Amino acid sequence: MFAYTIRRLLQAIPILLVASFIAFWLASVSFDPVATKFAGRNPPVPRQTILLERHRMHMDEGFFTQYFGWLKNIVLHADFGPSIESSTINVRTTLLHAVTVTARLVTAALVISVVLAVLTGVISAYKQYTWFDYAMTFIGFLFLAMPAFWIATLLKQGAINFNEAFPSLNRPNGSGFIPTIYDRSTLPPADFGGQMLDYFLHLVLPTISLSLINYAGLSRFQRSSMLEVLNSDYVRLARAKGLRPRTVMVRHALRTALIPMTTATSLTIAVTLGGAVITETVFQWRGMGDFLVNAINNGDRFGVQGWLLLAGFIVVLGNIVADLLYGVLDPRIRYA
Amino acid sequence: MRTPKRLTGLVAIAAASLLVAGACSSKANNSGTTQQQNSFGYSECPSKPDTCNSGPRKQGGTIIAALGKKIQNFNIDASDGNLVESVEVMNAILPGAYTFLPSGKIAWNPDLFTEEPKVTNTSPQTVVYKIRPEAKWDDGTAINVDDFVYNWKLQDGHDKNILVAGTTGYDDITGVVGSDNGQTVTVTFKDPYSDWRGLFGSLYPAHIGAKAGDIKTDTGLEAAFKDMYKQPTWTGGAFKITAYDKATHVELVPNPAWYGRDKPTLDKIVYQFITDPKQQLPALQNKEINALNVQPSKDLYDGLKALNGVLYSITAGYSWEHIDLNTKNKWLADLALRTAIFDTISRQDIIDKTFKSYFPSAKPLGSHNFVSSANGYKDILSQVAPDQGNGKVDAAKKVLTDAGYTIVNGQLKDKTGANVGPLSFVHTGTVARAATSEVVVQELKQIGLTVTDKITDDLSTTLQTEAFDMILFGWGASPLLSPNADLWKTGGGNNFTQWGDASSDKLLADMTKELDLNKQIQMLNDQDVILTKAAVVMPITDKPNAMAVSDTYVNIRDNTAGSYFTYNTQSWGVKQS
Repeated sequence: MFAYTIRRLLQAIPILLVASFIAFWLASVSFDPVATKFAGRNPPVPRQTILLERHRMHMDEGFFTQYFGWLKNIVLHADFGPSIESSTINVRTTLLHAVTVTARLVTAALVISVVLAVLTGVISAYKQYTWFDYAMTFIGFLFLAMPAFWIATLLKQGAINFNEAFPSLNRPNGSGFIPTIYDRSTLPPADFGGQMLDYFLHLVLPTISLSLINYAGLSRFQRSSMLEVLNSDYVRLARAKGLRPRTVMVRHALRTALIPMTTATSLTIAVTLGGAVITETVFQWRGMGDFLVNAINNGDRFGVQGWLLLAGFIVVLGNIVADLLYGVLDPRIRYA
Repeated sequence: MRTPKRLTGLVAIAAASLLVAGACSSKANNSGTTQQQNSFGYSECPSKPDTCNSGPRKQGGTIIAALGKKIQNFNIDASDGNLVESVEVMNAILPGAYTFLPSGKIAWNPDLFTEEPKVTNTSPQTVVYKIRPEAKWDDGTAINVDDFVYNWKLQDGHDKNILVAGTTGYDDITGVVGSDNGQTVTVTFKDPYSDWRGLFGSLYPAHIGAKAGDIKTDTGLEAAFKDMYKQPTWTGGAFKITAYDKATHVELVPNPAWYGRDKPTLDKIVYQFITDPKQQLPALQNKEINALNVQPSKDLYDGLKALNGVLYSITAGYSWEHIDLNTKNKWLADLALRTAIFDTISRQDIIDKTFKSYFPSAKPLGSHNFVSSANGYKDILSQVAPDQGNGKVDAAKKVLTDAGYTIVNGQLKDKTGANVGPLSFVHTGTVARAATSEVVVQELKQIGLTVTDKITDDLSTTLQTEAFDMILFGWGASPLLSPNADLWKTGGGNNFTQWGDASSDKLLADMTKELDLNKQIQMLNDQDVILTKAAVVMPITDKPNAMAVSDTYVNIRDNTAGSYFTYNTQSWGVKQS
């Protein structure tokens, strides 16, 4: 398995190289960050300032010089390049901080959506064509049809209405019980317990918002996968042997049904990262989504390139993890 | 048991309806009619912009105000630090010579000076500042001539490695000299500079800069300039920055060494970065912030009206929308066609389609040099070109006919019989500008002119490369008047119409040297007559700005004149009940 992992990581390198070139080219043709930054200033910014800023952003170099210089800095120094917003901003530091924020959100959302999807998918498959199955099908399609920004805004307004209906629950700083912006309070409680509760409460709305988007598709997928396994010969044999239904479900059927789910879940990481852009904008979390929106609005080429490359790496990594999980879930799978 | 399909469908409809109803729920309107754009508490602001929402304060309290951008550095003289939001934060930290009040008046700072700075000589122009002996930085160092010299040298443009946002005015100074133990500062200019009041508006401390390097040398100045990017651990204002999170907020507490007459009563001010303006209203509703200051929209207006316990105002700001014509275009080089185009377009129609729904008192703007709330505003358009911008199609057709144009089968033709147009109408694609474009395209059909809508996502390049025939964008104005010269003078850096006029240029050149404010205003209004008759730029209206604050606070009011709503943080406070 170790050799397999190393082989997969090495295979990812050309993929990431191609992705990096595409990201660099797209960002280069899309933005003139210096023009965007100084547009409309009255009085106009001195020409010397513009020239120095173009030099700082490497815009006075040829395209391939810029690309290979950027690549070299990433490989040798883990330097993602300068930010157009300010010379004090380090794209790498900001991006890595954004990753930790998004990782918290995405992990919580994925865990909740996968657990819920597996639970409801399994029960729906086991109790096919019952009221539970129909209800879960309806809920699944309902959430599938709802756009992410609408769910997020709806949840936010619902929380505000709840807070206004129960002002006695307001927090000591006067704000509503369920927070609607940021990943933590600007003026957090002093005690550790209060801080943990503060983190948790801030996680509620964005996690629900992201989870619902993923849950819908995953639950349908798990249901189909489970139904296929439940109708297979070896499960029929397990039942015929007199095993308890729970044992048949969990020890025999579920493990096999989870294999396609790992593929679906790893693909969901990419979708969740995309959904996080909207969720983080609505809830003002300073994660990767917010970073990308900010970078695009500011014409920050290196920021956008860094984001695309990092997102690509995360997706590739997610796929490798999914592949490795196959071996864990299905003993028949061995890696050469 | 199988659930009947019909029941399943009904359940689906009911659930969806509940969700929609939840999303659309609103609270009772507490603040008047749909035409009202200022709530009770801010209703005096149109007539008393400098004193509305005044009141006695009680000691204590915290206010959380939203800012629309993150603060990336604290050097507001730098090209990448000169953002509105950075200035809003640093207003409470940096002492300055003059403040722009909400009314547009330029007020000298009586906390810093013993008397109003004076022009003591006009040739060469000499200005004298007398600093109060009480005015000190929080470490006890006196604010004196050293700070003036330091700020001059940083911004005079002599060192190209200092990426300053602008050098205008400072590059005209020939000397800054101190006397009376540095408390009297004498500034001399090589040429008359009429906007001298705009200089030294944000003083950085020289003695702090000297810690980064020898500020008498360029190397030291460069090091000091870079040092100014960092979070200040010092202050010369009413507040001091005590916490700063690059991603979320900055916190200020009162400066115990504050020397001003008005002492802060608040315990803390927090500026929270909420970069999506649509998220500021829900945050206000949820009491996660107490104040916001944004460009308004219909949704914002409706939302503010529905809130309890919030004061709001929507007022004409110091920026204005306008349509420019590129006189290098072979057709637009003709004055008759330009005149006819502007006569045909109705600015009221544009206002009705754009700002009217949330800013009922929006009016057509009649000046190219002053916003409607500015000192010196005169409706030049109504006096000089009453048909311009008023949808006078018949008058436009007469102008065209007299100039030899004809309209044949709905197509405008020039004197040679050739088709005129099509012309491009370029804008940045915002909702308001797209609506404006629709109006212009439709209305110009009446004179047989085809106009094609075109969106640019790089306005600056479009303007610089003249890649437009007609273009719609906005300018930010200021109580300082000399920047207007660059908008209209022949070859001016911000003159994108390619128009020029010798008489206009002379008036503008004289205006930038005129030290008497009233004469400056007269010169600009005279220049505006020439500009209006040339029909190269048509002002549409002032763009509105929205301010909202919880009604438990006093002395917080909008200020679009350039010092922004944080111009008087030392006076902010919790209302005394």
